[in-house]
Amino acid sequence: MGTQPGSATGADVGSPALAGSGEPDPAAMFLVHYLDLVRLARLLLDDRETAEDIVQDVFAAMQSRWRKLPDESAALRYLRASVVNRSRSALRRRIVQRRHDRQLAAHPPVVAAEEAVLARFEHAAIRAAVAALPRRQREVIVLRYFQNLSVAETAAVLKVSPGAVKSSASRALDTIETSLPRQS
Amino acid sequence: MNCETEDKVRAALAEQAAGITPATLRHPDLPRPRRRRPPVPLVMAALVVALLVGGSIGMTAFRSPDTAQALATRVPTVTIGAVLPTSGSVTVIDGIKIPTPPAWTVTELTPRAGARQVCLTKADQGGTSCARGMVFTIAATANGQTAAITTRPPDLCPGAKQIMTYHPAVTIDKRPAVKYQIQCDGRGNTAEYWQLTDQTLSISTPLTGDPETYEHIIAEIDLHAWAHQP
Repeated sequence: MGTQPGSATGADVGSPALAGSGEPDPAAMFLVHYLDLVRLARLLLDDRETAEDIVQDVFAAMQSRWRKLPDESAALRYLRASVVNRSRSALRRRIVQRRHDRQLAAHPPVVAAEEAVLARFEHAAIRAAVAALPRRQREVIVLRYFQNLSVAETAAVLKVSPGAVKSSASRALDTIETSLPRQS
Repeated sequence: MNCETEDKVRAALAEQAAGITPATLRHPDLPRPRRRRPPVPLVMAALVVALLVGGSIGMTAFRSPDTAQALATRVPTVTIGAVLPTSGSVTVIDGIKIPTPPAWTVTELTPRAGARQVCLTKADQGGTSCARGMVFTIAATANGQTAAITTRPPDLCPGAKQIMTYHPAVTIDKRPAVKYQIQCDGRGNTAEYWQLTDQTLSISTPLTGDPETYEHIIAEIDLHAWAHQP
């Protein structure tokens, strides 16, 4: 018997911290949010192993700071921002990958060979388009449409103004829309 | 804004994320906090101070045996194993009545900041770490105030994955509490970690031993005479 991250029962969801105390409990928060944060990192990065390593690092770092986090929502904000920042750093370290990204930015999105078949489908095209977006736009899209954060919450995580979030989202959606296969 | 595009993006991202499931995670456990490595200059400074202080103490002790003995007595001693009196089948600690089976003992462990810790175990299974006993961590009450203590489920699975199941709505003597059930690699014996939600009392049981007895003790614990009242 055991509960794996993200498989918490319905009673667990929404009660990650010790009830009544308001103080975040790392173990409980791990159970409830780990899977979701791995998915967030995966959408920001290009491989899931790095995504999982990053979220592990974030939880390890959180445990030395969690007493400074006043409540569970602050802890979740900290976790999200840390995942975004560390994903950013991981991407920055990959010089080869960055060159590849530049090529993608300079040309229309090129879908990998094994995805060529999938590209016929709309979701694959959208995923390719999101992956080819500039970093900031990709972060905005993932936080807004995967994490379902509001403009203000997204701005807080990325430490930018709400206006910058709106304009990034608008440009990104335009780019994605133009990349979608036209239906006759 | 194109709502249709937004919906498509939502669906595409959700589909991609759904490829990651709990079963495919490589690290399903909460990582251990990492110790920060102190900066090298700090280490060097600490080393120099330690050498100076150590040399000073050593020289003083060499000159005066009485001083050396006095210094030795100033070294903090750890009070582990002081057996607390049990009346009948109950041990009372700070007003908390803990059912105590025959031939079990309650010993005082090293106190932690703001709390005392006691170990309830079979008489022949004590020891300095209470690895085979129930550990009660009780927050100190002063002037009618009981400060919350920060404890967490113990690490019981060295070298294995510690899988915890969280139960958010349990009680200890009718007071709201939470409980974690702990297993190594998700199988085998189960340990438990209980904590009042106001974080003033925690109880941990070991992986080994008699779970039914532990369950009985926790079910029968009496908090009515405890100075800390919710």
